[in-house]
Amino acid sequence: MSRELLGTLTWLAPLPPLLSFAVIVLFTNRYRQISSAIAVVAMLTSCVLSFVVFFNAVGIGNLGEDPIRGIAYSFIPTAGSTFNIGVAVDPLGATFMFMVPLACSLIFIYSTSYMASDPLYTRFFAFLSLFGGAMMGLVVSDNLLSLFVFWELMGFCSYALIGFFYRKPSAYKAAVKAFMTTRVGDMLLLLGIVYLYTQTGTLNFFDVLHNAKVLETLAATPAVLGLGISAAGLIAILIFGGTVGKSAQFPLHVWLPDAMEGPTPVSAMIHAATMVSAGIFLLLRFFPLLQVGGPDNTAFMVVGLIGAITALLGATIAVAQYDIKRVLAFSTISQLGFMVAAIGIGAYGAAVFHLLSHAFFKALLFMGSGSVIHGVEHGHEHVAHAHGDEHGNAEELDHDHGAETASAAPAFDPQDMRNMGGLRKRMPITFYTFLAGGLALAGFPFITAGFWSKDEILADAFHGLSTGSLISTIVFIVLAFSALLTAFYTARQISMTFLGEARTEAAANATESAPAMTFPLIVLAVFAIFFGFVNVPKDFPVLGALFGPAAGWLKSFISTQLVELQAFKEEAQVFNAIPLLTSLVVALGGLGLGWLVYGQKPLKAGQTDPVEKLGGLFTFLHNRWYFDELYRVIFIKPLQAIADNYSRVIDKGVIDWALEGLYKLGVGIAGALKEFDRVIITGGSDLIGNTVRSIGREGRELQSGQVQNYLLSALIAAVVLMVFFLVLAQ
Amino acid sequence: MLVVVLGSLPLLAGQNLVGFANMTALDGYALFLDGLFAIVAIVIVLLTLRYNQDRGIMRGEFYPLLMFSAGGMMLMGHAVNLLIVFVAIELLSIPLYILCGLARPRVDSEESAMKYFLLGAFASGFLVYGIALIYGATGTTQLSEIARKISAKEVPETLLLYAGAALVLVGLSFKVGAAPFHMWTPDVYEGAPTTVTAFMATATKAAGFAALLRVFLFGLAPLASTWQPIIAGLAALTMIVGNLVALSQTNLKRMLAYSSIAHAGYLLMGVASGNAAGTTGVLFYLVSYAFTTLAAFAAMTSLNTAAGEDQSIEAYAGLFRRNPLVALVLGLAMLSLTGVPPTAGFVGKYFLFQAAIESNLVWLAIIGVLTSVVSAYFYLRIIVTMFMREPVAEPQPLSTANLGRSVALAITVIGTLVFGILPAPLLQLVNTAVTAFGVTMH
Amino acid sequence: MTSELIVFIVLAIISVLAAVGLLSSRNAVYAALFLILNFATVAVLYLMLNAPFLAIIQISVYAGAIMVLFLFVIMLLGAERLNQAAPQPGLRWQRPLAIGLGALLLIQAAYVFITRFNSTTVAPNLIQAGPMEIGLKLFGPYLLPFEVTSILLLVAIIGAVVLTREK
Repeated sequence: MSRELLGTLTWLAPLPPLLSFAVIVLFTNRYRQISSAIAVVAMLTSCVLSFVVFFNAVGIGNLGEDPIRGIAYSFIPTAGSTFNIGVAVDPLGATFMFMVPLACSLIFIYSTSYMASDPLYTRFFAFLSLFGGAMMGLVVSDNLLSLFVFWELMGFCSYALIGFFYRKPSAYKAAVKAFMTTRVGDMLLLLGIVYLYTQTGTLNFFDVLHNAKVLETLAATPAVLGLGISAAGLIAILIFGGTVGKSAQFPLHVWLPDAMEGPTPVSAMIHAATMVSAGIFLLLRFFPLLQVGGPDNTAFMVVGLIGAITALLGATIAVAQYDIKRVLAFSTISQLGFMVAAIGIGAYGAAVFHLLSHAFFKALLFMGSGSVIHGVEHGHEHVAHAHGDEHGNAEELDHDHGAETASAAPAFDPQDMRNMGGLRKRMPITFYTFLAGGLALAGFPFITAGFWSKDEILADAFHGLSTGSLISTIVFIVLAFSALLTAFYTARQISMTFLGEARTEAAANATESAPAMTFPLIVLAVFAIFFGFVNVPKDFPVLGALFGPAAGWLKSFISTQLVELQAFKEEAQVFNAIPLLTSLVVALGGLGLGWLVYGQKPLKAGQTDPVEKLGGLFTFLHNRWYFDELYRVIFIKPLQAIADNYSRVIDKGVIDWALEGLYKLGVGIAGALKEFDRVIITGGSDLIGNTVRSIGREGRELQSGQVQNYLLSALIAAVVLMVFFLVLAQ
Repeated sequence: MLVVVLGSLPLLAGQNLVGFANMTALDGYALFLDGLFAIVAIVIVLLTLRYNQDRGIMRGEFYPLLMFSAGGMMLMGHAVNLLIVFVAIELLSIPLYILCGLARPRVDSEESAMKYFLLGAFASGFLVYGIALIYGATGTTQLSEIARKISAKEVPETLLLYAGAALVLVGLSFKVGAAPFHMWTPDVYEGAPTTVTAFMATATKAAGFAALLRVFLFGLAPLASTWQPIIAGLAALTMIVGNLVALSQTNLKRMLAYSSIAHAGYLLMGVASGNAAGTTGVLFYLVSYAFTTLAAFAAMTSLNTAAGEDQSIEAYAGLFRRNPLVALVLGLAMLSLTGVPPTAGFVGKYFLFQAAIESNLVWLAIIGVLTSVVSAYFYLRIIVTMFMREPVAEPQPLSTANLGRSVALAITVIGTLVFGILPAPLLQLVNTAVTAFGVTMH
Repeated sequence: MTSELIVFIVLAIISVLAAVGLLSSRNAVYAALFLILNFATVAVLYLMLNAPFLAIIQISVYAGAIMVLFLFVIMLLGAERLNQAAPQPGLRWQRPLAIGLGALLLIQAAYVFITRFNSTTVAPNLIQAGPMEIGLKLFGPYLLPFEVTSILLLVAIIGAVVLTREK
């Protein structure tokens, strides 16, 4: 196929989901089935288009140097240069054009069944389409500006979807939190974009990143503010800020677990196909900027350290969670840490590989957990009906929403793993697919994708270690330990959920989900197992030879992308048994340990979880290292205090906002100490609120005096201003 | 009443050629602003038709006063003489004082008019005193002449000149609502009829910036090294105060008032840049901000009930269910104010930040970026309230749809989106305007 | 020179005293009369600055027409005596501050003037500011501001009517 045609197809690929969003919102939002059909068909169309581009791209030898380009159109003609908005597919983009639409399509199909009983079914599909379309747009963008536009669009979609069950206060709080937290990163990214533009005069990736001259100039220019690093390094770090937000890296990881408030397909979208991958994608795009500073430069150090910290943080917290989705959420944070750490040590190919395999098995795990929740939920309803009590409650449940609703929460939590057990027999398809995903996550040797990609990272880290790189050493040790924990919590999760005997009646009566839900699981399970074989290292004993020329395909395909790979000659690397042994030991060791603790003697109903024996450490981990509380004290409260106090002095709205502020504070405390007695707080804030209000009422009498206050402060300001002018004039 | 409006439209559209060669300039800059003021005025008139009916403000005087004020603003765009700047500012302000008080039986409307009048008069005092001092120092009120004399070092009394510049800056800062001269804004915006508030928030601010650009980037350009840090400081203060205080507002109109203060801060950042990019940024931002803010206020007026308007944010809970279209418009406006692409607000902010960085005001750009992160919180809160909460009380029947308002909503929404997605044509216009500005400059 | 200076000093003292009297007087009629005195002294100052037209206008328009209007209103409303209301408690602290700031502004202005105008060599304005010259200027180069000002007055009249009209 000609390049022009491929360029046009690339243009077309993101459009169907975006159009489907518009059509659903404007025309079909009253018709549930038609809307979901439109969304699924649109996504599949996009998927087909992308595949055509992908398989053609694979056949192009010099894709790295000469990517497929679509027609560009002029967006903002500025005085000196022109912003051209266009599309392009290079090896990195091509691999994403394979993974993203495939994962999205499966999630869409799954959602048709999962969300079937939701009253806002059409709205859900509208936002889901927009989400998928935005991610596709981001992948094919050939410049930072349109990438940023789609980036923000995704931020908005995630906000809308996380807060989808908006009647649940925790849901819209989580939505705001996700949006605000990622926005901190976005702003750093925007600064990076602007800085890049002032330095190079263009935002096109290929003009900057694939141009050795520009890169060298950037590396040679010292950064502003006298930070002692090069412009390239500062830009890379600022852009990495965007990744930290979007891909939930420490210290901005706090939003991701809360994002579990959204429906499960949304979690799958966010965790596998869209949001978090976008962050890593961006960082991979800017890899040349990191690389140009040489090995162990400041930017690499920052990226590697953050990645390592995140990997460890996520893995430790995941060990101490009960909520089936939260375990997965922290696992995602941890795995993203793996990828970022891989980038930090310069293991570009390994990071891409792990990202893709993770996308498949994590989507699988999320949808599997959704299936479990669905099944347990049905079991619970069944029990409730059988007992003849709670009729109204169950009815409401059924009417309101199948899986997660506000009303369901207090009595019975279908997401709590302590309420499960023994589901292996009740939900066999879910069990076996989940098992495949879990083993991939744990890195079960040789037969799972996760093993190959994780091994690749460890091998590259070890290679760096043997050449004396500091960051590689840190990354190797931390990741190996995190991988051990990963295998352990995976074994814990699978055992608690599926093995042993049912611990509640709901679990005992759980039913297997509909085919629309199990079909995507099966497809993804295939990928979770076999995807690893696209990148078996060439010199791997036995298997490497078995795959012959196909071995290491992904890595060599991806690597054509990078110009001037002096710093990291990945090809030069020879096979070493130590990292392989490490991966074997941590994967099997972790799984074995988990089996010993949980698998051999499954938990009985009412029995406490063995990890709780860790005491204080458990509490610390269970409460996620207290990050949320810390942020509340450090950032949110002072900001509120400043805003509130300013108003107290000058503003008229004293009463209203003080009331609101107190109320918020009350809610905040109640949120922090979840089990704390709510009655006391609401009662207390009412009392204080009333007092403030009555004071305020008297304060209003003085209102007429305020003009004088305004004039006076303006006068003071004018005098000060004048002094400034006269001083500066001298 | 309708006749007055219909008569006013061609009057606005035909406003084309005026020439008093030495005191007013007819250049691309002035014409660009004329266009902006005309569009804003048309939207306001379209909105007011129904609004006044709803609120029982049945006064024919509304429209001529609006026209007088718009005329003053246009004159401001044309002014290249300090005397004209002063007269224009009075001409645009005095009708506004009256307009604020038009919902007269309501106490807050009267309070609004009174406060605006007192503070406006105060500001005019500063302005005229500053102009007098500049005249005293240079012997002329002609901006080009002032610039020439300063560059040629023909001004012996520089101290007098600086004092004059300071006072002019104070006077104009009042008009654009920059901190610390912003205190009147929330009270006045809250009390005035909503359409008047919309007019003040958009057109008056634009006129103020038109004057700031002309006076400082043209007449006092040779003094740039002195005023640049001061205006940058004002910009930083304004962004911080506006955004932080907006956080704690519970009244939508007051929140928008503080938001308008914050946006004045962003615009001041463009002025402080003192370069062509800054001027481009300011002009572009004025347009994008005008459309966005008008969209927000237009949506607000649609929510009028016969009983009056409930401006508290709580009243917007669950709006999406009651009136999805209006909720979407308001949501879009909030996103644009936050600066989320692909809305016009994003492109405008982008230019301003770029301009600031170009003139080495990196710290200012960082403050701008940080405050806009903060701003996301309160803009989003509106969206959360509209889309994700249940209505608090039984909602009153909304004012029914009406042609004028629908057209106004459509204009503003299209503006917000089109300039966000396809900014090129507008940018072309802005560049023409800036070029014209530069030509007059030298 | 000296005779002019003496006249100026005397007039200036009267003028300032009249202004203070205006502010401190509790009787509205007295206050108005003080204001007339103030206007008159200022008019004489204008005369000394070679601006006879301005001086006459000052007398006829301000001291004459407007003040008569003021006095009429005061007497018709019977509002001769102002209320002895104490300043609102919240505003008491403002008075010293206002005085301080006023003094500061005065010092600033004085600083500017004294450092720059220490010599008395400013040439007397030789341009005759007579009615004809002013007329020619107003309707010549300053026609636009003049016309705009007239619109301004129209707006002010509309405003006065609109805001006071009964419903």
